[in-house]
Amino acid sequence: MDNALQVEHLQKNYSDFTLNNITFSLPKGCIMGLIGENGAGKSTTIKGILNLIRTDEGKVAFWGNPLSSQIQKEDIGVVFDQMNFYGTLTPGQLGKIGAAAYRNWDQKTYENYLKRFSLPDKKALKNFSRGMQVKQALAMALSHHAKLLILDEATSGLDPIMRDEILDIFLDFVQDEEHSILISSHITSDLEKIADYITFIHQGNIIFSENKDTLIYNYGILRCGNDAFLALDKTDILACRKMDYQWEVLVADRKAAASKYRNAAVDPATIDEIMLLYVKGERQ
Amino acid sequence: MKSLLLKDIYNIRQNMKQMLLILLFISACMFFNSSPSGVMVFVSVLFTMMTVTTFAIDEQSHWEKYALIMPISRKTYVMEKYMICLMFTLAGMVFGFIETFIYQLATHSLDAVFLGSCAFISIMLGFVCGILYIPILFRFGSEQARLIIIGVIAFLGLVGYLIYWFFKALSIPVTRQLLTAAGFLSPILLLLFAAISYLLSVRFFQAKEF
Repeated sequence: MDNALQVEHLQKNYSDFTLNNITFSLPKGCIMGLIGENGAGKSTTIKGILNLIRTDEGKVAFWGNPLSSQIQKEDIGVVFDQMNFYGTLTPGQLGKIGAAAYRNWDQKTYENYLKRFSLPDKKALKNFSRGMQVKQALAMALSHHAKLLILDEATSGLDPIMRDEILDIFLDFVQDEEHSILISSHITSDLEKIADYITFIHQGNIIFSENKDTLIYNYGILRCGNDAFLALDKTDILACRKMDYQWEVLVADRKAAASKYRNAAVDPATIDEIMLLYVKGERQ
Repeated sequence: MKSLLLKDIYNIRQNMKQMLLILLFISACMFFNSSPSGVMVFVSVLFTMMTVTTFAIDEQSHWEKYALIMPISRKTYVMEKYMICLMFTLAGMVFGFIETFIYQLATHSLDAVFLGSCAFISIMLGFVCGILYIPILFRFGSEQARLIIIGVIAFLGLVGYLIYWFFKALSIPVTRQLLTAAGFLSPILLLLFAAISYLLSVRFFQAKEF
């Protein structure tokens, strides 16, 4: 399968943080969710991918090529976690700026998104709510026929109804097999709905980059008492956490675990639970 | 480039109204209290200072980060700042020119040579300020740069005074020929300084992370 984005051994050293050996690939036509706690390195990874920071090591390829030419940027739409436009600008003016910047700018599409998102053409951005600002940035990103969307916490700050509508837009977007999305989000329920792959970053390291269905259908949480925990085969434990009265153990194959440890309860794991166990628990 | 220029013009429009009011007031004071010779130069330099405001706005709104994900190179980003600076300088010169022209008409003292000379000096001085400020702004950001710029202007003032003192001390006469030669040389020197300034700005901006 061709990759829209290939990240290999990306490394960035700061005095107090290191983004370490980040490697993953996003196939064409897919959505990848980037998850991790605050400060885990998600935004740094996105900045590294987009050449906004100078990485110390590693390679990034978009459709097989490094991001060296401006032509490639035509095919990438980005939404950051903060507004990047001065508050006095209006959506109408931003449309003109976008039209001057992108060769493939589609004014009609842009105006349609403004209508769809109920964004007034002549209202200054400073009077927009956080949700409206995100929608404005999305309208910009979706109006130049980008093939890859990179979204850094794009759905945070939106109400559930608008989030749902935007998730539908993302799903529509990837109907075209040439289109892909890399989205970082704290709202893992959104990613469970739309993502094909989940990449989990913790303290600057990739914990896993997996197919979402593998995580949802195969991973499980085994709950057992102390004695049963001590009897567990350590190679079955991905991460574990001591609770008040029991142990919670993350296992990669919940069906195998259920048949192997009949005295323990093994439940499906949500992405939130997987993340929590990796972050709060002990890893084997 | 066009998108960046548009963005700066839209952003600065809000400040432009206040700027015009300030300029009208200052110009009126200068006209009534002294000769109008400095108005055009003053207005031009003041307009050039709006470049600093565009940097402040960009930083405040985290625009640089967004601009760099658009199909715009870092070199183009830097070049646009010089273009907008030149545009502001020219706008200031035109504004000052009209003011001075009206004043001369009203006082029946129309002097085309004077107007032309002032226009030339305005553009030169305004743009000199720009090429001086821009690398400092790219290196230090608008907040710190304001203080550094004041320091640099004070330093250049001192250098200018020392040159004057040097000429005076050695009794070198400031002749018409010398002034004409300086006048012809100044655009060449300006271009040279602009090139150095641009290269420095590119270097500083390339090193920036967002």
